[in-house]
Amino acid sequence: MSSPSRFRSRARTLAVGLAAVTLFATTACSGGDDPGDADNLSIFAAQGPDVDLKTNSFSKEMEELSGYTFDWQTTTYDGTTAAEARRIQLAGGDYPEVFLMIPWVDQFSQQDLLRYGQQGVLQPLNDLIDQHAPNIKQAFADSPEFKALATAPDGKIYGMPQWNDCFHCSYQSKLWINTEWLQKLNLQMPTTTDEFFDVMMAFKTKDPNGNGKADEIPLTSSVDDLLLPYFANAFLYDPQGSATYPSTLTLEGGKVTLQAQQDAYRDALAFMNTMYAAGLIDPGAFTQNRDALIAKGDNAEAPLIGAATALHSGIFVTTYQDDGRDEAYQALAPLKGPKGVQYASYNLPSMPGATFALTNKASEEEQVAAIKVLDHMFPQDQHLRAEFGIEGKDWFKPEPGETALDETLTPIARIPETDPNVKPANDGWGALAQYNENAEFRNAQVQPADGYERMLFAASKLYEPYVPQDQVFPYWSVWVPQEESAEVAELTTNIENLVAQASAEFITGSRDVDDDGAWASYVEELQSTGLPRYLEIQQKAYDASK
Amino acid sequence: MALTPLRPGKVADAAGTSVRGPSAARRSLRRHWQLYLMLAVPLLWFVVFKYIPMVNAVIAFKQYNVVDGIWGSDWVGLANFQRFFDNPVFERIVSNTFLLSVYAVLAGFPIPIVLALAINEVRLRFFAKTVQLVTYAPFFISTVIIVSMTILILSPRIGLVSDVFGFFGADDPNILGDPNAFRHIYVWTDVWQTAGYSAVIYLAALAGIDPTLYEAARVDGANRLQKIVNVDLPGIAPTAVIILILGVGNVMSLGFEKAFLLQNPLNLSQSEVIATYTYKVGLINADFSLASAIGLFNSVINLVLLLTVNRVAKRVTGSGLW
Amino acid sequence: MVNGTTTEPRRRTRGPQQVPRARQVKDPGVDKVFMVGVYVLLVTALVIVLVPLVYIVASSFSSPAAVSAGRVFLWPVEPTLRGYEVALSNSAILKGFANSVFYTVAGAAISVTLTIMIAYPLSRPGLWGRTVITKFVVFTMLFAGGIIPTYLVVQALGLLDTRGALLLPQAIGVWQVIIAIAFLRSSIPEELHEAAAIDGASDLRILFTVVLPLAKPLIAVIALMYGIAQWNSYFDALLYLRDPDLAPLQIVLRNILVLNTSGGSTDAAAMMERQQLANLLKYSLIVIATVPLLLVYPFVARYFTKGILVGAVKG
Repeated sequence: MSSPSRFRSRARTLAVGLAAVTLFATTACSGGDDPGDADNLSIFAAQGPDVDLKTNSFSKEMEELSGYTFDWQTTTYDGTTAAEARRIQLAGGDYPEVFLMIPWVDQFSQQDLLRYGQQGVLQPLNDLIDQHAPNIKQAFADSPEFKALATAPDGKIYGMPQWNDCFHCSYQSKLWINTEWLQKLNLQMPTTTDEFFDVMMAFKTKDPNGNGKADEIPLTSSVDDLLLPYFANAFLYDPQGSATYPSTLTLEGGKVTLQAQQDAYRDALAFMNTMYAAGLIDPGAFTQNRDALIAKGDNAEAPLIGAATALHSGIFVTTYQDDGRDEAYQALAPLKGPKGVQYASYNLPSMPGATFALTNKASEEEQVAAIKVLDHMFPQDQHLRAEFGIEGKDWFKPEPGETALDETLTPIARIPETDPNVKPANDGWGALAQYNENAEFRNAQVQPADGYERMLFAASKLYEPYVPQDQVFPYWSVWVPQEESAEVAELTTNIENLVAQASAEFITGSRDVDDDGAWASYVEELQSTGLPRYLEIQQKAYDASK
Repeated sequence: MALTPLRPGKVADAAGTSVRGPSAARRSLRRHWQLYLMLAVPLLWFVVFKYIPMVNAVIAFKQYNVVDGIWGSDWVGLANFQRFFDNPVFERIVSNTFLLSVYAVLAGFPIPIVLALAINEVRLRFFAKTVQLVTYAPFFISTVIIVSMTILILSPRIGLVSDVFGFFGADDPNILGDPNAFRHIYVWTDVWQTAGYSAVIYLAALAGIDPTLYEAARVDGANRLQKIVNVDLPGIAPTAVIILILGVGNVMSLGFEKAFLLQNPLNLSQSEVIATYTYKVGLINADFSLASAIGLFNSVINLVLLLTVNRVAKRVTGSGLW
Repeated sequence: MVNGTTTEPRRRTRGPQQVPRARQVKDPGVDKVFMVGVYVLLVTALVIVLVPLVYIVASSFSSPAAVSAGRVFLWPVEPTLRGYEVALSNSAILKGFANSVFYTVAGAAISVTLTIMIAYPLSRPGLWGRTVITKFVVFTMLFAGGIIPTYLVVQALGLLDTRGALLLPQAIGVWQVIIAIAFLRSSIPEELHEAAAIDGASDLRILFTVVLPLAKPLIAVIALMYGIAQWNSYFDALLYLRDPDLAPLQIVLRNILVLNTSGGSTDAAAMMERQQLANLLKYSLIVIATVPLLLVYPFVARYFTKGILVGAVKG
């Protein structure tokens, strides 16, 4: 038998434990900040582990400028979860006075802006910009596309996007070809789809890596990089960039059309199918992620990849390798198709939506203060300070002989490469401050003569002339109205799923691209999935955006 | 052999089933007031963290608006449900979810049991402990890594599987591009990852078996297999049945991450499940009311499945959830 | 009779009245074959699980280039500690670790206490209202209020940005409650309850002197499960906590990884250097996050060893 005292002590432990639990629940209420605090400006921002916004020297400067103490509410760099958490917090009515986000982490979508703008959570910035932000007004005047990107169809600016004029990002679908193999086999850079086919065939059969094995992979890509668009552009204009923009919407004399139902698209698929059937395309191109792709590119035994489609070659082969294999891959200009078609897909490098927004919790004075902080980051020198830090410490004025990325521009600054071994200085806001990243700013930074960035710049020049401006559907300035947003979200998902699936099946042969019946049933499937309604909504939204 | 089936749980069931009626209630309250008191705290927790939020799930019937709040938002009746049912892909994603999940539950059920029984037989303590520890470890690997390794292994041309086929001079199979292979890949990598972790619960149940039952089996001269069949299995059966019931009752709540990461254009016809689909739609237009409606739909199916399986289990094995 | 002292039940096992080693197993040959089968099965399982694990560990110590080139299999190639250096030199990691230990231990303690408090009464067949309450509990597993409504409750309780936000909302798992009920019902002989009741012991006393000592394997397993859930919790921490000082290890680790994965750098070369580092970190972070749980496991697994519980019923 246990002694009663022993039992009692246990019971007491339990009781104390319980009391602690309940007490905990009640006393924990003391936390939580009041966004209405008069001297504080609550800012929601993404913070990586090497920046501390609270102690950041630029934060201090901005606190002085605005006259407010910043109350930072930070979120993770992990995009998917950051977005989900932000939406739940917003839906729970728990949001700050200012949002300061990073496009590639998480930002307000156009739909978010319309929804929360019309619900009154997000405050229009138009008047604030007019009265308190001369630099922003100047930037809008300099790049009207920037203003168009920021403005909703009702004329209001519910949030400010980051303007990022990244030249090489505009041409997502580049093809990189192994020039060492070309030389070895005494071949020229192909210029037409037919020539390309022959080159691939030579890669496959003539053992260009010289290891005696037919282990070459003539052509590959990954599910994140998309193989098709580069080749489809030799048959019709295909605007698909990467998996993040998989739509084939274009304009045909002002009419919104879906390229994936055109006969020329079918011709493109047929060409791809011929290559696939000849064993020139890696079956993994439709199933592998980038990890598996680069494993092929870096394969220890011998270089395997003949050509691959990707934004830059570093995606499929690690740069600066000892055997220098990565340097063999050079961009191939758009191919000319059998009917003389030769296009390059264009995507706006800026992300539609907004990263900076003010909520209804901010008082008028706070709104003015916040817009002044934003405005401060627009002029070039202040932008350098905001993004990178202090001159002479975190970045340097160009020295004579140093040239800008775009050699026609006067260089403005040299930003040293980040050394992962050195603790960052915590002087700048980094990606939080990239608002006026126009070509004059971005391309005027000093780059080493043989640098990767310069190579990308040159490669992108090969694609620039082939964008059919009149066919580009400006999806970034087309805002689908609130009432139709739910419908369009479903239609977009269904149609893009169907196009991606059917295209891959036509190429790999599980649908027969030569069979008129199979093609007709695919087109019919598109119709029954709601394509007409989809185009109708997009057309209306496009017309409203003009 | 005269081994009577030994059912440790049997006695308990017989003890007090006739607790009905108001007088029984009063008697039970008087006698077990301590138990009721003890129950009060966790029940309060259930009310606060489960039932109060449940009331707010009315947003499935509303057009949710942050400023107006849940109760101030406009009623839209069944419109959110209607939209889901009317979607042309509705049937496909529901059946994909159901088939994938049922397969995962069924395949994931027996293996941990076998593993636990086998570990339980081993007398070499070090070996038994090593197997336990090693099989439990994969549970902590993130889905991203699991999927990444899976794709590498199955990838044509470089993967392990490719090497094996190449060794036999056969052509590379495009396993990742075969929609029919998707469910097998999903389920068996899942089993690989969770079998050891799930076995832990059975090891605990095995440790809880009354040792006198083993003595009795030994006296009867049972061999190991007979001991497993007559003592071990009946001993863990109540736990196993409940795990199965709970698994089936969660069939529709399949997570999105793994299916999403394993998805590619060629396996979409089978890999698109409710969770991945709503994720994609949500990327374009985050709609909480629709998400709640879909959640409610899943719950109803789960409820029906759970009740059915529970009834069957009760009839067949004599034990169920209640 | 109630087995009085709860601390050392093992001593009572081999009493003089123990069953004699009566009839030996009739056919040892059958057992031998059977055991060979068991070992073959376990060794196979061991290899299947171990190979990818070793690959992960080997990769975490190898140069990213070697991993990417497919040169790493079961042994590090061009060994480096770079991944661990980068991760462990991060200033937030120690605090994250300490936070996670706290959440894990406190979370498991609260959860186990609450689970036993509900499971024990519901495991008693004589308790009036048992079935209804069980249904009340199971129902919440099926019909969850959803993430926003739960968020609103946490907010209303003032738990946002407090440690309580990680400990309380997920404190009870229906799954664990149901398993606990089943275990208590099937593993603790009803005679023990009856004997104790005849002795005049109250329900609470039976819980402490009879049930809990016999339920050690159960407590061990649900503590492990709750603890693991806390250790791995990521999204809740992200959603409810804004003060970086409260962040658990998983948040810190994920941040280190994501920072090195994401673009953002305008310089493609720097971006790729980070990408390389991220590839390495991917593996070393798994090792860092998993090792503590593997170290704890043997202590928990002790309670699964057969024979730790012994018949408390005499003869």
